[in-house]
Amino acid sequence: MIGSEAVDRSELLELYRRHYNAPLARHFELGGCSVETSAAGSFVVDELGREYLDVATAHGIFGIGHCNPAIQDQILAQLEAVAGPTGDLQHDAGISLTSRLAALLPADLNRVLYAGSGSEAIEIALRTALLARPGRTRLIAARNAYHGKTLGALGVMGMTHLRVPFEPLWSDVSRVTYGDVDEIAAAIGDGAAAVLLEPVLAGGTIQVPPAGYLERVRDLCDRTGTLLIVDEVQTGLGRTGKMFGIEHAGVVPDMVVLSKILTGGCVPIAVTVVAEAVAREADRQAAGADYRSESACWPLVAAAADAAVAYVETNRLDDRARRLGAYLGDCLGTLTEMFPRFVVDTPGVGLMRGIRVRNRVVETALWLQLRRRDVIVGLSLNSAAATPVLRIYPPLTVSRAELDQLMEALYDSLVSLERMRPRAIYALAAPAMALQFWLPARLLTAAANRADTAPNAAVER
Amino acid sequence: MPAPKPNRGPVAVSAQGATIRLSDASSLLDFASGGFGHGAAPVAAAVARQMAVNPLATRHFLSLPLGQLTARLAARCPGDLEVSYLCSSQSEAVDGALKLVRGLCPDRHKIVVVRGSNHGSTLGALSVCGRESMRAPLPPLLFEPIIAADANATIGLVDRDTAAVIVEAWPGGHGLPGRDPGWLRALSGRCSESGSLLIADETRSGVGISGAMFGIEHESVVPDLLVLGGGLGGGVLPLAGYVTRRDLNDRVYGRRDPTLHASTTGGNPAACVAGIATLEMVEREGLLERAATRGSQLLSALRELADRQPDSIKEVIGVGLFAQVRLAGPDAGGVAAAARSLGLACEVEAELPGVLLRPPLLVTEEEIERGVEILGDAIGLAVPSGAAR
Repeated sequence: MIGSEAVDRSELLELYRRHYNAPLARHFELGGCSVETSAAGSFVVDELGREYLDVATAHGIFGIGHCNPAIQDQILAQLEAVAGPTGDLQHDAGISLTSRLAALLPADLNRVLYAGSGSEAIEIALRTALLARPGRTRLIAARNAYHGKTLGALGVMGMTHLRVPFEPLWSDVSRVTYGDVDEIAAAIGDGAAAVLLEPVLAGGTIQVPPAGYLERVRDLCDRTGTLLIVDEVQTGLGRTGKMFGIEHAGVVPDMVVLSKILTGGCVPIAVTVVAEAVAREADRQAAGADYRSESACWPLVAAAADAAVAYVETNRLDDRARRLGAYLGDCLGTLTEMFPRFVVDTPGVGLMRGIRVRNRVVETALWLQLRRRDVIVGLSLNSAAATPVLRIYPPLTVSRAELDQLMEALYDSLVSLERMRPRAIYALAAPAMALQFWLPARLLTAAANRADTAPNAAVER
Repeated sequence: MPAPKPNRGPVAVSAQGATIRLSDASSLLDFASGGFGHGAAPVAAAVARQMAVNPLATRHFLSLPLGQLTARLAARCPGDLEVSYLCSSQSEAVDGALKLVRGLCPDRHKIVVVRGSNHGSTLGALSVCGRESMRAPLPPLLFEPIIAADANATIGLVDRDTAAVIVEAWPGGHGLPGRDPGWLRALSGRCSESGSLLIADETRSGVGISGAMFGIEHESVVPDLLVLGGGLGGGVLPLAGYVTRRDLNDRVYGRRDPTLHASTTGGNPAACVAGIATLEMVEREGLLERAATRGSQLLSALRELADRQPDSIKEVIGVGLFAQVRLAGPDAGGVAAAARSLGLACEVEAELPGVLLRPPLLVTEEEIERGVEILGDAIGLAVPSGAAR
C-alpha cells in the first residue's frame, strides 16, 4: 500500500471507476494523471519517481509544506500516547489548540467548536447564528461563493451547478454579488440572521473585494443586529499575508471558520470560532440540545493542528506570504500583457493568487502544459465559469527559487499554447467540455494525448 | 484575544483498549464510546508510515490507499454494495447518503426514521433525528421526517411517497427494545416493493461491534446505502462513509462533474491506510469472534450482577458489545455519575431506560470484569437511602 509496493496505474483507475468516482477516473485518465506516492516540502512525487512542484496544495491544505518535519515528532508522540476520541475527557493537545486559536483571533472570538471538515464547520456557524438570532431566518451569502457540499453548506453554495440538483435546501437564502455593499444592505433589510462571506472570494475563482467592503458590511451588520460569519477556510492562518484575511479590513467578525492550513497537511480538521457573547446566546436558545457536532476533537488530529498553527506563528509565515506574495503578484502580473489571448487577469493577495483565463479549454490546456513541466496548479473545478481562474496557492514555506520555477513553466506553457493553436480553436472547443462525460473515452483520450504532446513538439522544433 | 482559562481537570494522557489513563494517575474505563478502542498497534504503525510520506492527497493525482480501501469495502460489503463515498465524520456520511437520496428521488418527500434515533449533526443528519427533544430547540431543519414509534413500526409507514427509511440496522443503537426478529428483512422487502431506499446507519454497529463485520449480516439484508464510521479508522483517525450500489450512485453522480460531491480531506491517504489496516486486523486477529465472546461475557456478568442485586436491576439486555441495564430502584443518571467517580464511563440517554454500556471492539476480558464490578458498586452507592437493602 505504501511506497514499496508496485503501483499499476490502469488497475488503480479501474478501482476508482468501479468503487469510487467514475467521472473522476475519467478526468484522471484523460489528464494522464499519475499516482502520488510521497511528498516533501513543495514537491509531490509520483509512482515513477517524477517530482512535481505543488502550487495547488489542494486549495491550501499544504500551507506549511508537505510532510513538514517540524511537526512529525509531535504527531508520532501523540500517536504513541493516545490518538482516538477520549469521550468527555480533555487532552493537552486539544486544550493547547483551543487556547492558541482563541489567542490568535481578536476580541472575544474564544469559543472553539471542532468539526471534521470545512462544510461541517460552516454548518455549525449557520446553526449557531440562527439560534443566536431567534425569529430571524435569512442567511446572506455571495453568488459564486463556495462553502462546502454537505446539505446545509450546499444551501449557501453560490455555484448553481453544484447546488441545484439537490434542492430544495435552506428556504431563506439571499444571494448577493460579492463586493457590492448595496446588495447586502437590501438583503439584510431590517435584519437577517447572518451574512456569510470570504475575505477573498475563492470558490473556483479569486476575487479580492474593493477597499472598504468588509468594513461597510460589518457596519450594516452592527446596525441591524445581523451576525457576520467569515469563512477563512482558504484565507486563514497566513495565506493572504496576514494571519487572517479579515485583518486586511481590520474588522472583527462574530464567527470565523478555519480549516486547510489548520490541517497541517496531515489530518482532517476544521473549527468554528464563535464570539463568546454569541455562543452564550446560542447555548441559551438551544436549551441543552447539542447544536454543534458529534465530531470530537481527536487527540492526534488536535496535536497535528496545534503543531501546524504553532509552526505558522513561530516562523511568521504570514509575513513570508506577504513578502513572497508581492513578488509572485508582480511576476504573474506580466502574463496579462504578454499573453492577452489567454490570460484575462491575475487577481490575488499574498500567496493566494489566480490566473483568469479566456475559457475552460485554455484552463485545461494550460494545466496540462504545466503538468508536463512538472508543476501542479489548482484547477478552478468551476465548470460553470466563463472565464475560470487557475488557483496558485503555494506552500507558505515556498522558496523564491521555486516561485521562479513556476514562472518559467508558466511562460513556456503559454508560449507553447500560442504557437500551437489559433485562439478560435480554444473558443470552439469550449462548449465541448460540457459533453466530456458523454463522449466515448477513446475519442477523448486520443484528443487529450494530442493536446498533451503536440505543443511540446512545437517547442522542440 | 485573551486566551480563555482552560477548565483544567485531569486530562487524558494515554490509552489502551477501553482504558484511558489520566494525568492524575487515575484511569477511566470507557464503556460509553463504543468504536474500535485505543492502541491498535498495526493501525498506528500504518498511519505513522503514511504520515511521513503522504498523509493528505493533493487530489491532482490518483491515490492508492483510496482505491484500495474502496475496493476492500466493496469486497467485504454484502450484495452489490460496491461504490463508496468516504469522509471524516458520521454526520457527513449520513448527510452524503441523504444527498444521494435527494438526487435520486426529487419527487418523493417522505423520509421515515425511528423515534429516539440520532444520526449526527449536519443539517441533513439532524433532519432525520428521531428525538423531539433535540429537534425542537433547533432552527428549522431541511424536512420533517415521519417518526416511527419503534423499529417495527417503520414497516407500516413506508409507501410510494417514501424516498427513504434510515434505521440503525442492528440493535446496538436506539432500537434495542422490542425489535421483532426478522423486522429488518421485512422492512427491506417493503422498501423494494415501494421503490423506497433503505439506509442502514452502522456507524455504531459496524466493524465488528455486533460480532459480525456489519450488523445487517445478522439478518442477511442488503440495504441500498450502508453508512459506516465509528471504528472504521481503527481508533486512530476519523474515517466514515457510505457504500452503495453502482446504479444508484451513477444515476446522480455518473457522467457529471466529478466534484459534484466531494470533500478536500475526505478519503485522505492516512485515514484510508488506517481503514485498510483496521479491516485487516479485524480479520487477522479474529476480532469478530472475540467481540461475540466478550459480548457474551459482558451479558452473563451483568446477569449475575442482576441476580445479586434483584431489587436494583430490573432487566439486562445485551447483544454483541452492547448492553442495557434497566434499573428498578436507583436513578440511571445517579448510577452513571457514581460509576464515573469510580472510574467507569457509561451512557445514559433520555430516550432509553437504564444505563447503556458500549465497550469498544478491543475491550479485554479483564476490562469487562472490572467494568461490571464498578457498575455493581455504583448501583450500590446510588440506591436511595431507605430503599430496599
